[in-house]
Amino acid sequence: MFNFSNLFRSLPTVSSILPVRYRARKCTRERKAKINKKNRAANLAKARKYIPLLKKKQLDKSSRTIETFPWRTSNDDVYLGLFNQMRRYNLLEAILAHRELHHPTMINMPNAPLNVRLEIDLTTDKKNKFVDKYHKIIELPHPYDHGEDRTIIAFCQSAEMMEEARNAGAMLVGGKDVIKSIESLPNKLRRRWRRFFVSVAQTSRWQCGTKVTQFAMMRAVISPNPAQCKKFSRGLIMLPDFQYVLAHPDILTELPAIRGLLRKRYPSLQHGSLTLDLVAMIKHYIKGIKYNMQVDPYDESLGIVEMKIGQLTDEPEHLIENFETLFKDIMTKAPKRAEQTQFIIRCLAQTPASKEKFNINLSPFISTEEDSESDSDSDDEDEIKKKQRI
Amino acid sequence: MDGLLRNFSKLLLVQSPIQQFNRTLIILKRRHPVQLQKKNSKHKPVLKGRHFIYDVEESPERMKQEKMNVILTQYVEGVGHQGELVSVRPTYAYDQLLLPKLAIYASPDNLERMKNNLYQTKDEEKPSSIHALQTVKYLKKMVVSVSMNKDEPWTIEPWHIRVSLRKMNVHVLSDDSIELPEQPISGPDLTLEGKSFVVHITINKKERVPVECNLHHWSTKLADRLPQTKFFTRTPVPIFPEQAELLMSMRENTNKN
Repeated sequence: MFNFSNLFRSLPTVSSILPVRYRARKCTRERKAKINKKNRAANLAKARKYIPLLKKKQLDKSSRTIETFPWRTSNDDVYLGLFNQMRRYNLLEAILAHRELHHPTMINMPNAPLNVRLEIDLTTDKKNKFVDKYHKIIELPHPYDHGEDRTIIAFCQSAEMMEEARNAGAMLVGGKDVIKSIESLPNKLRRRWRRFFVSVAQTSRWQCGTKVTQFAMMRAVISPNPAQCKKFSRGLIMLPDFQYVLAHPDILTELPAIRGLLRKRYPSLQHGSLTLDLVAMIKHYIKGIKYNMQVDPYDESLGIVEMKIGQLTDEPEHLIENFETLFKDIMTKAPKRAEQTQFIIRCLAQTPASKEKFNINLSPFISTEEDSESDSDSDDEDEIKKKQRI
Repeated sequence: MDGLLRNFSKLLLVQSPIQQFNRTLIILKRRHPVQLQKKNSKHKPVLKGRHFIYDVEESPERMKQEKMNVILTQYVEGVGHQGELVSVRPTYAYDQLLLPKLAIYASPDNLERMKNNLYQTKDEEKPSSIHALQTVKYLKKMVVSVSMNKDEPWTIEPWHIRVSLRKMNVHVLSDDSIELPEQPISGPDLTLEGKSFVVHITINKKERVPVECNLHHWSTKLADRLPQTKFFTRTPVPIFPEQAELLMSMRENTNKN
């Protein structure tokens, strides 16, 4: 009789076919590890070389507006935008065109906000260096109501100044004591306080059924009364809760103690947050309008500013003046390049209700800038400019 | 002789030079330079595998072709009028202009003939501009959606049409070139919803094109808006019975194309 089990036994087993790999000797292991360590830097450099390829793919995702036929122009009365370059509007024309669409007979949104999208070329003379992102508060000649809650902490020494600052609208005004209380607070304690407040906020939300954030709780506890401030100052003044930090020069000697905590928000002349006229500065920070220069996530060399200039019902001249101030403010950040190229590449005027984007002709704004530069040939003005840059 | 016999089979495989499409000069460069030899040495230079890697320095295929001049014998959309000297890319000229006999080479003889106005036509017969007929074609196929307000009273004016054309990326520079139907259309009137009418547009005061417009009621409130429909594929329902024939003929033409 044929026995299957014998057959199986006669076949070579798996272990006998495959060569057994024993662990390498200790000295060889160490030797190979050494080589690996040596090559790691080279491997990393190799991996880095692949990044440009990736970036190439990412360039498709960037939000840069690209014209399909930038060289084609048409002299016709009626022409297709599809086969030609983008139509260039003056800002006044664009406003009027938007008004037509938002007319009561069509969309019926006559007081829609007019937004402006500016595309900025961030390249500098160095290949891998770009202009940084920033945000700034500017004063428009014809301001509108921005719906933001801005929290300001102001430092000054004299009692009169403190009162004035408080009346101007600063959320917290402090002198030496406040600085010391911030300074003396150990990190552990601060964390514990924060945890406590979060828990309180959560429980209160659960009980009351209303959304009480931690921030609101903080606001409720910190009162402008200096006596109370002293009482609660330990652990209650948390710097992350204040967006802006302003200071008067007379308290400059005490400030460096909290420099590490404030970091970028540390008051300085350059930002304008260290001023003799504290009250005016507080008012500017509360009423001014903020714009944000963002870098496109897929394109390092493209900066984007999106900002509301005003409403369509406003007078067009006011809107144009507002735009001009914004334009000039952005142009102050322009780097000096060997080849003179435009810093602001493109401007699109749009409203949230419609998809229409009007390409705005920027040449009138640029030409005025050049004139002002050519006028200021005197040495004094140049010196002032240098100082401003420093 | 020995070598010839040995390599005979290889010789059979070699392609004849006539089969090549174009014989041109390609300049190559060694990627890895060969080591220098001693003076008067009898040894051959040492060539390794890496020495046979070449980079292309210059090749006519990669170079950008220069534009060539041709004379048009007919009006070509987006290129030029009849009897005009135009410079275009050679591949485009061969495939699109010279083969279908829309143009001829700009040889000295032909240029002389051109000067004698042999190919010219009268200005009256010419289309108004190079792109005019292209826009005419495009506008004939188009169905413009004119969205008017659902709550506020209105009567359609030329600028309404201009704005709705602008939304579709067609730029009309003046209101005079838009010609509305004789009877006024006013609303809001939901019986007119989704119905079509014809508007005439004149390009450069010469070409007159009928354009189909579709009326739509649009509300500012999100809840009151009417649902979106594919009005551009549906058979059109005319507002004015006079325009029914014109509308149907326009649709038939677009379907043929």
